[in-house]
Amino acid sequence: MRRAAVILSLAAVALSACAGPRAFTRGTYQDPEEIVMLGDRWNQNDMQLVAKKVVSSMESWASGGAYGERPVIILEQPRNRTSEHIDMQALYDHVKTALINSGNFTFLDKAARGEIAREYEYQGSGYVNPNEAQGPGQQKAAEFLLGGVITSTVQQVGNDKLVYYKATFELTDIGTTEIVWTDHKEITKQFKKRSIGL
Amino acid sequence: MMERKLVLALALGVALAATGAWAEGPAFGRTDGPEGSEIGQGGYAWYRTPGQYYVEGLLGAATVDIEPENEALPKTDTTDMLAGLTVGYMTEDWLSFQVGFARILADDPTDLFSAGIRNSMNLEPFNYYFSLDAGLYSPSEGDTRFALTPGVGAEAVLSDHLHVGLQFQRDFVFADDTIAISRFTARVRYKF
Repeated sequence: MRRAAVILSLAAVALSACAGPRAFTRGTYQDPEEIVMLGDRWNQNDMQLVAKKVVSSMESWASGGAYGERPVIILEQPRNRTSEHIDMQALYDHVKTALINSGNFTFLDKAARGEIAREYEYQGSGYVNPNEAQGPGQQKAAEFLLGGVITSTVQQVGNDKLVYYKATFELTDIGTTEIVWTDHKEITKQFKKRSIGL
Repeated sequence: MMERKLVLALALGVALAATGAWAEGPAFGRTDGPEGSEIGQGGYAWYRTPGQYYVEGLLGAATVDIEPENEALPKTDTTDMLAGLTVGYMTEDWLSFQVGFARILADDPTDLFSAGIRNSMNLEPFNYYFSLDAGLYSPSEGDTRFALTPGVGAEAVLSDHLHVGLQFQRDFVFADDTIAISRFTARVRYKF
């Protein structure tokens, strides 16, 4: 009788091995600009804080008017000098969108140049109404190059961790290579490992 | 009487510890404020910082093997019904502190008091756990003795609050006589 009970108990434990990982369910939409840190890595709040600083600083620079009414800008290759993956393109897009929407800047679509060149060939091939066809020779010339780099340092002792990010952006005059504007945003985040809750 | 006071004291200790663990949630900041307004904000506002209490009823069987120190006396090996209650506090999804009471429903009933931890592995819809309790073996006739009680169990998660399962525990009683108790119980646990 006792052996049967032990065997039944072990069988119950063994059968319950047919289980899977818990799923994330019952989600709710949240405000994207509320500060939430589930982990110790780069997150959307960090991107928003960097973009906010860069945009406000560039708008202050542009309002001086020293470089024309609407400076024409192309984006440089982003540089991530941290030890983790950061979507720099998302950060660039966030900055670009805010600056374009401010109406004080003109951005050129560098990434689309190849596609546009192929479209010129097609439109000049005879398939398109020549009165309406777009061709080369009308593109705006970029005046400035906007680039950014993010670096980080991590300090960790025991249950404490401090992560420091520094995002530096520069605007370079393409004609003279002069850096006409630069600013940076520093972010420090402190984390603690949780104990067992008591 | 002494044992009841001990169990009450243990339960009070768990409750006080749980009250002290009720940490305040972090402030809820935003990134679209003035420059520098994000300093001091952060964390995970929805994290369950306080723990969960639970109550667990148990019903099963206990086999009590007693081998007297005096070899002239006969060994006894009895199996009787067992019923009891456990109250616990989950500090984490995987760690609980608990106090329990069980009674072996024999003609001469034996009371078993325990306090200890439960370490769970959660693979929903099933949980597996290991428990380790320190306790008191209190027969109706004879002295109360200290016991160590390891146990293993598995339970099915019926809902956020209700779990049902099985557990096996072995009581090692520290006494001159060799006393060992095996408990097989079915359990229903409700989390608050």
